[in-house]
Amino acid sequence: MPKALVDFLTVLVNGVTLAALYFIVASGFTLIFGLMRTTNMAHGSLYMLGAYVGVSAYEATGNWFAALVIGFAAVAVVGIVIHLGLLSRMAGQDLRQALVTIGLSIIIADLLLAKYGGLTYQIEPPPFAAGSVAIPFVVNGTYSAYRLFIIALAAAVYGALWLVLNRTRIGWYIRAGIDDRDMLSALGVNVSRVFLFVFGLGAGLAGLSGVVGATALSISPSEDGRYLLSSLVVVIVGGMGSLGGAVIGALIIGLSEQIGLFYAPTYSIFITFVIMAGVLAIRPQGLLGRPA
Amino acid sequence: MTWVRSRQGIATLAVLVVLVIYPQVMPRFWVLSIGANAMILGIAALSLVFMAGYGGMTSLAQAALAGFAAYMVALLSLEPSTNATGSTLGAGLPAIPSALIAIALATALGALFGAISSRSYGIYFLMLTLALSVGFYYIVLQNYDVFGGHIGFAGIEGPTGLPRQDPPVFYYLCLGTASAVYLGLRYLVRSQLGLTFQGVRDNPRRMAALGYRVGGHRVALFAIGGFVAGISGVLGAWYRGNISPGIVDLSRTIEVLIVAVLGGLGYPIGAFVGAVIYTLIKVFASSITIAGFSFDERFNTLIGLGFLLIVLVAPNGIVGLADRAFVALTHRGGGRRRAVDPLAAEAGIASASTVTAPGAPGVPAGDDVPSGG
Repeated sequence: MPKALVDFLTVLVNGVTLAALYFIVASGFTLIFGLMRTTNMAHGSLYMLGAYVGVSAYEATGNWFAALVIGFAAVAVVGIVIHLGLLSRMAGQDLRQALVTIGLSIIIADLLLAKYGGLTYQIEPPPFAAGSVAIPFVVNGTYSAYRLFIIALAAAVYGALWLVLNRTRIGWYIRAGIDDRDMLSALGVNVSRVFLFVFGLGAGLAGLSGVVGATALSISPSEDGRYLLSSLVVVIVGGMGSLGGAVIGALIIGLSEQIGLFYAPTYSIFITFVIMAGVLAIRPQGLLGRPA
Repeated sequence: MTWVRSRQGIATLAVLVVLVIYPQVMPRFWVLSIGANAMILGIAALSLVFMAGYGGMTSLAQAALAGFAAYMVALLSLEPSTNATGSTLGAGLPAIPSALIAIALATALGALFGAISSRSYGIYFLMLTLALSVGFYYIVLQNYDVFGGHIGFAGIEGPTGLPRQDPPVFYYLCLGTASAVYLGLRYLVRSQLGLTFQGVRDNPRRMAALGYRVGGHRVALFAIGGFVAGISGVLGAWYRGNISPGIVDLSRTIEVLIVAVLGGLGYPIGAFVGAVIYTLIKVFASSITIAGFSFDERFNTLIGLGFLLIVLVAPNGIVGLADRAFVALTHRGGGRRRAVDPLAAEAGIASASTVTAPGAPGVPAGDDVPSGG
């Protein structure tokens, strides 16, 4: 195969694996926004929290899956505390909620810096996904097994969320709540408990993605901004509150970022923003979003 | 004019006198690092207060717009030199023309941001402008051809070598600029254009039905926001002398927001009050240690907690608190002025409430209906 084609296919695979990570990060963000109209500006900080908790959990247990579960659970608990203590008291005031989560993001980032310092950490991938897999059409003919595993993991997260939303009672409540929160409440459903569940789940997904990301790349202070940005752009392009939109948005952003990095390294973010502006010009609500 | 005789007029005059005498009696550090620095930060926050208050557009892109102007003034005024990636940067223009062009470019970028976001409202607008701001940070960080990557530029000077040559003169330049911008915006919001902005803020649909171009006005408002932020950026570049991506990072974006909320999103003067308080806290936090907990290292935790407190208990900021205390003292709880919660009601300038009250018919104040729906 010509080298240019191999390069391009490698970039494509890189883009898809990055998109898988972006999807897992953004899924919690869009889930929370879709039901509660709460913009969780601390989402990037929760990602970072999950990553650092994962680092500590991995050091303690030596088991990657334990780190994943602990990262999810710890951040879900933090999310539930944030929701109960602060956000549920200002339901409907979306700007104030956004500002509160910005305040929280500063504090979380600073406390993580105090605990873990400015070092860069990385988590070892699970044994079965360590090393590389032979793929004929990429550079060197091999590709990181863990990165391919992220794609499977993203598919699993999508499938699990789809099942929860479409096949469970709480999923019915969530979807009904997105359409008409007041009517759902009038039907006797405890909407605030549904909100709590969704916020905990969304925060937990941020923590889980932190463990996944800290394994694939690494974790260091100021990573929160990067993943808050990716989540924002993914849901702005894909449509806020839409799971399918998050998939499409993540693919567009992940691919454009990797293609940009390879072919025009110093302009890759610029390309991402041109795409975002273009989508907004045609569909302000995002590709799969419903009009506000 | 009776304003000199009114209590507010006397207070204003007293503050002005203090501000003018200040650099003559204070040491250099207080003149530059606190006085000038706070005014530069205040102008940036004023651009946000103006957009949030009169346009209902809580923009998080103001730090990026200011940073853009700072980069532009550096590129225009520095002598040409070749950087590590082989691109020759620097136009070698004098300081004043560079500043004017940089501010014009920031205005244009503000208009572009406005065009991108003009159809987004409320929380969507907030998210979009945050994305633009963080995106701009990564652009300057990545790009060595134009923005000098993570190194940035050094050796930027204002006219006649300010501010290092003559700190008090630079202070007066900042004071004069801040006053001019403040008075100019006050004049603007009372003009017909300013009233149209407020109409667009309160009820875009009705204004559209009346024949106003809502999108165009929102773009124009963003351009003005870019203009004001650009002024702050140019002064900031001169003040620091060097620029790097750190001046547009997420913490700087949040810093502008914190200053605006601290002073009071509903009060233009709050931008400067917030900036002075924030700057003082930032400078003197290093000397505060409570129970072995040094605020020097954990400055962000301190500022984050303070910000949370303001958002939770005093949504009108410090100026709002002072205003309410003043009203309570002088009118014995007469309640002549309503307390508007700008965070719940999306928008609201207290001093302009005679013209258009936030939460007027058509705006479901504090409602959970998505804005613009």
